[in-house]
Amino acid sequence: MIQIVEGKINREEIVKSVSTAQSGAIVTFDGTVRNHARGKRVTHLYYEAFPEMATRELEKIRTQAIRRWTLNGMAIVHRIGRMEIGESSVFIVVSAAHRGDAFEACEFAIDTLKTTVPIWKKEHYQDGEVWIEGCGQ
Amino acid sequence: MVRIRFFASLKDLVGGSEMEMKLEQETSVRSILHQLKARFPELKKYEPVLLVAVNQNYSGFDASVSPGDEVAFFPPLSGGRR
Repeated sequence: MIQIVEGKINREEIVKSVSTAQSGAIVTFDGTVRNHARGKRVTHLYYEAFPEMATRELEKIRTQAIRRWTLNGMAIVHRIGRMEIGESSVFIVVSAAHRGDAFEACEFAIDTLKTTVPIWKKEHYQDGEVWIEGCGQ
Repeated sequence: MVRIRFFASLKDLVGGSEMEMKLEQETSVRSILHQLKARFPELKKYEPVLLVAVNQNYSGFDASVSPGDEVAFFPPLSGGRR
């Protein structure tokens, strides 16, 4: 499952989509909305995607991961639009026979996603809002 | 015609998410950007970090653009902190 969604992320459904009888490990990464950034209190976030290209880039990540590690499945779902503190913005699930492959592939997926998938976030504070663009921000 | 798309802060800067540009023969991303800068001078400050995709594939400024193509301009991705 590779998806860009506008509503809440359904974690259970995504986990189920990659669960197989051959899997001895399921590793998940849940990216959640944090209440602070750059020394400021964040009230909520807004994510925007270049949806068609983001989906293609997510597919590429999965293809690369499946080539590099021995996996049974990988699902990546990214939410766009407005999100409140504590809500999931991105959810990744990797299933494999053994945990080493699943951990490594999951870390690869989120690290690559952050640098190649065209999705941007805007942080909203009590006194304004800022697009977060560029490394190290 | 070429479809030009903008995202995130660039969309705010040009005041819209997409536009069409007349194109009768092959050109380059650089030449399209040149025309856009004439219309939106604020784009100049983005140039060093600007990302480009032609038909939804990351491209350089030297990439060629033909009538019917889609060119997207967008700011760098956040990268996040590990």
